[in-house]
Amino acid sequence: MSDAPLNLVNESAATPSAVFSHYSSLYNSSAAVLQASLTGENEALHADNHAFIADLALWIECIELRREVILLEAAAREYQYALLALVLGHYRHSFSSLRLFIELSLSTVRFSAQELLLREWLASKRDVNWRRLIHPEKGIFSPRFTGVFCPDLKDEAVHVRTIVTKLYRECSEYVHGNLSATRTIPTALAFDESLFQAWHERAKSARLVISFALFLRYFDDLSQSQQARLESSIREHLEYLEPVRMRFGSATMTP
Amino acid sequence: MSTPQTDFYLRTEDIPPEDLTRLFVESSRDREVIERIKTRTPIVLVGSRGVGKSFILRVVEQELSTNFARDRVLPVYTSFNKSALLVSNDALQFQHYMLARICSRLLRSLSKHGVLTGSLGSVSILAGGPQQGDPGARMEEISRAYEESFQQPGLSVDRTGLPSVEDLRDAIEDLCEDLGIARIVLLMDEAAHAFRPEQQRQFFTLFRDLRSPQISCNAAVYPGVTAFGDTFQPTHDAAFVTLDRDVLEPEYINQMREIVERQATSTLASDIARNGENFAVLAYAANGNPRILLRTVAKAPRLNSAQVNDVIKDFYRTGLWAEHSGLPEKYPGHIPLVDWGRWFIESNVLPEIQKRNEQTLNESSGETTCFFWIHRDAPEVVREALRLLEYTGIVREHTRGIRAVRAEVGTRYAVNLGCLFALEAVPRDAGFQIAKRLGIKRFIVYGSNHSAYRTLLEHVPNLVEPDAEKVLLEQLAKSLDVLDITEWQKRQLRDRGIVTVGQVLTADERGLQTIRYVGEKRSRRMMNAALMAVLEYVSG
Repeated sequence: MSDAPLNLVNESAATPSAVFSHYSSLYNSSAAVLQASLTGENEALHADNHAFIADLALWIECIELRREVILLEAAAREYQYALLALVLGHYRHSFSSLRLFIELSLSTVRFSAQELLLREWLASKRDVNWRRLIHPEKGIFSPRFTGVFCPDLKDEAVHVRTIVTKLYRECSEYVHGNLSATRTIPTALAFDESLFQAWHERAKSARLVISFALFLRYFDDLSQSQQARLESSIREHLEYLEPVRMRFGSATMTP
Repeated sequence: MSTPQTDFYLRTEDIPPEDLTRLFVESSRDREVIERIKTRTPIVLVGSRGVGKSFILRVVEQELSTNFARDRVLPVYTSFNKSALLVSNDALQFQHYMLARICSRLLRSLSKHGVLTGSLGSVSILAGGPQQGDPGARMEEISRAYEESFQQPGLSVDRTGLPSVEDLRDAIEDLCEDLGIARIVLLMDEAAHAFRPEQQRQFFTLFRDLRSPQISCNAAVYPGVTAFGDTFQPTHDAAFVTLDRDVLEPEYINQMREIVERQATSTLASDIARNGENFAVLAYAANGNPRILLRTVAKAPRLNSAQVNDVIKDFYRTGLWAEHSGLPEKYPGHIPLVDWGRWFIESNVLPEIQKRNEQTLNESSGETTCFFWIHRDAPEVVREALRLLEYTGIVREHTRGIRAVRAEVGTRYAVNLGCLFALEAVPRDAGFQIAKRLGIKRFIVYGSNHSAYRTLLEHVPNLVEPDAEKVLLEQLAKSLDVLDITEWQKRQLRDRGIVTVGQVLTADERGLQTIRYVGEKRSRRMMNAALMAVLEYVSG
């Protein structure tokens, strides 16, 4: 594949129109951002978060017979879009998609325990509700929910809830156009190192939160072979938790 | 890698009132203390710097304020942190300054709760006479004059209109009757200057003299405050309550984690989750002191083992001791106590404890320790040295009346865990092992005539009160590097030509607004943080 930006052709005109030229120029700018985003250490950083696409695909396979899998599939697509938007320099949209990814993933877990709500969502009669997702007493990280699905992660769930609450708020600053966030976004389509890094840090936190939520809801109900397939991903994100290590038969972390 | 989080609220004074509730992580002990302060019993809350005394007082203020309409108990919070700047020619300057501050804050609280009526005679007394406009103006003028006396030492302050203690007490009694107020709860922060016995005496005399059915006095002080004046009786006139967090409590790590999480970004909170053991080591090392924990987390923002090892060695081997050893610069008479205290802990206590723990960790069971015991008949000067160590957080009094060898009675002290961990080649690993098996049963014993006391007894210190004005001016001339603020804040101040402690006091916050993304709110916050650090520094 050529390293140079594609020479686009305006097929409907002999000479490129002004509109065509405008968007071709933006396309080339995005190409330059992609180049910078996937060079050297930046590429390694992006690859690390990119690899989570495969982990999500595994989880989707494991719960494919469940009705709510459609939400996780939508979440996975949104995650991929977030990664794409980032390397094209669409920073605000990358945070916005990351936020939606989190919402849809956690909604998967919530609706898995509430068939009625799920069916209403599928019928477009209900929206995803962030406050309900993270409600301290009724949400998926609440003592009630975790006490039922994974009691030995009840204590840690409180902290994960704190992480995701902050994460959501931080991403929301870009969604709502907060001045503090807006000021950090380049006014022209160009690579921004600190935004790139900031997004990846948040994506890393999102991976931890989503892995935790999916684990606490589904892991104990999976077959042994499904658990084995997920082991590598789960260990990567959650090995710091003794209840997780114990499920793979070791009390200590792998060196 | 993007900039890790190092910017925390380190002091309660830096926290906007609307954020107090969000940042407060309540333990059962905290709730117990809060409820005690709300009662009629006068409470003197004792705790090292950064342990959370001011936070507790502000929470009490907020809760009483919220319930004022129902309970008619009016909170009045006031801080005397600027008393370190007083160098007027008034022999009772502290008492007069505190009276002015109390009147001013009381008027403000009455106004805030919508009950202030200018027509009352009692209000006129508090205000220093009939006032046009802001009733607190005259009292604030008097307070400010005392606070600015450091710029013209020996200045005579015009305190016309300042009520006497008796007049204040009577005015409050009348006020309560006229306005249907059940009680005024005074919450006096930074109440007693650690190294100015005269200020302590004047404060406690005032504390005692203000007592009445309508006034509940409460104060927050540092450990080691011992000059109570002629009328205040520690055993009768107040309940002394120590604020601390016991590292041995099962919820300790969780609580400290929550304290940091409340201020953390998602990235830091995630790093804390992934590096739980590393965080736990820092939390144990901090000995229940949230400010120290936040400072050390700021120095190890990725919480990896390398950072944790470095920060423990740097902060607890050097930083903390430097603060302790810096005390004689301000209070030369305390040199023998400070030096001996350091020698005693570094050359006696810590090595003994380390040896004991090494043996224990080689065995499969048994408790490690961080405790030592001092006989109750040990020389007073030894206890004075230990009080200084308590003040800087190197040592903490754990339990009195403990029987040790031959059923002798003494006091058990805990040495700072961070200082203990810092002795190890790999503090993170050894520290975690020590903390996991920590217990109170074992301790190093120092009898009433232990040989370690000899060098101190040979050099009886001269504890006369130093020349406050001279000491203060020396401190104000120091570089702002001595201040307990973040490196980022120091850089920003230096970039704007503010390089000494004294310049921070007189600086204009508008200069900071030229920094990118620093608007009015943030510049105010930065200046407040720097100012609080200055006041803490000059207070000892």
